[in-house]
Amino acid sequence: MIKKATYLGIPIRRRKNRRWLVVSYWIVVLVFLASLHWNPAMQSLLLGRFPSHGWAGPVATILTSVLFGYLTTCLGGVFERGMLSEWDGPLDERDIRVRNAAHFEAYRIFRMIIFPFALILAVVFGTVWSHYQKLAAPLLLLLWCLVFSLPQSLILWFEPDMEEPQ
Amino acid sequence: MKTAFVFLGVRINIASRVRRRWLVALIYAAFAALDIAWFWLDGKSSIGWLLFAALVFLARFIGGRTYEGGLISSYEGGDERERTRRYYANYLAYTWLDLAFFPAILAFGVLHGPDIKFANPAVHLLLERLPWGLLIGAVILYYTLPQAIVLCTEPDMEEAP
Repeated sequence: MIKKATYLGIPIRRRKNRRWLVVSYWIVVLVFLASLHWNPAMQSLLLGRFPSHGWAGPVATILTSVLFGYLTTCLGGVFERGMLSEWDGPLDERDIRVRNAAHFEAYRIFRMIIFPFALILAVVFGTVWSHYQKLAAPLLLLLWCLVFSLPQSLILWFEPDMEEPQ
Repeated sequence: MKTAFVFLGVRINIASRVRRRWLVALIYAAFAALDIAWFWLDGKSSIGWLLFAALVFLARFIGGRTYEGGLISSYEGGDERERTRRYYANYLAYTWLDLAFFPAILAFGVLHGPDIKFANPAVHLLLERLPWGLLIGAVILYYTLPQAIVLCTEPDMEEAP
C-alpha cells in the first residue's frame, strides 16, 4: 500500500514519521482555510474580488484554487506525487483489506462529524445568516478535505513500521 | 443481508436482487423529490423543516448501519464474507464522494461571487437556496451510498422459511 520509501525527503517506512506528516498536512490545511476566512486578502483571492478590475481577479482565483488543489493532493486521493500512489494497482490481498477497511472507518468517523457540523450550519445560517455567510466556503472546503483525505490519513496513521528493503 | 423487512406492518420481500434494485431506485427517487421540494419551498419555513424530517425518516431505511428497521442488518453483525462486502462497498462509494460535494462548493462560490448582486431578485432567492439543496443531496448520498451498493450488488438470496 505504501510503496514510497520517502516523501519530501522524509522516510515514511516508519509510522512515527508518517504520523508527523499527517499532522503537518492537517495543520497546513487548517491554516490555509482559516486564512481564507480571516484574511480579507485571501478571501478576495478565493472569491475573485481582487481590488483591481480586469484579469487580476480571475487569475488570482485560479492560482489560489491550483495551490489548494496541489496541497490536498499531497494526501488526498491517489496521485503519483501523493504519499499513497497506488489504490487500484496490483495490491495484494492484505493491502486490499486495509484499503477497504480504512474507507469503512473513514465513513464511520465522517458520520460522527457530519451531523454536529450540519447542526452548527443550520443554527448559524438559519439565525444570523447574513453576518456569518462567509464562513460557508471555508467550512465546506474543510468538509471536502475530510472526504478527500480521511482514508489516506487513517492508512498512514495506523499501518505499522515497514521493513527497509535489502 | 435481510431477505425481508417490515414497513408499516407490511412484510416486503427483498430476497431477489431485482426487487432490491427497484426499492433502492424508489428510495432515491423519493430523496430527489423531497430535496427538490425543499429547494423550491422555503427551507427555513415549517414546511421546510417537515421536508427535512421526512428526508431523515427516509434515510433510516437505507442509511446508517445500526438501525434495526433498515434494509440491511447492523454493520456490527454478519459473517466474514458480509464484512468484506461492506468494506468494499464503502471503498466504492467513497471514491465518488469528493465529486458529490463539488457542486455545493461551486454553488457557494457563485452565491458569493461578485456578479450575484446584479441578478434578478427571484433568481437571487433561488441561488441562495441552491448550495443548501446540493449540500443536502451530497450528504444523503454520503449517508446511503454504501448500503445502496450492497443492496444492488448482493446476489439473489434464498427466502427465509
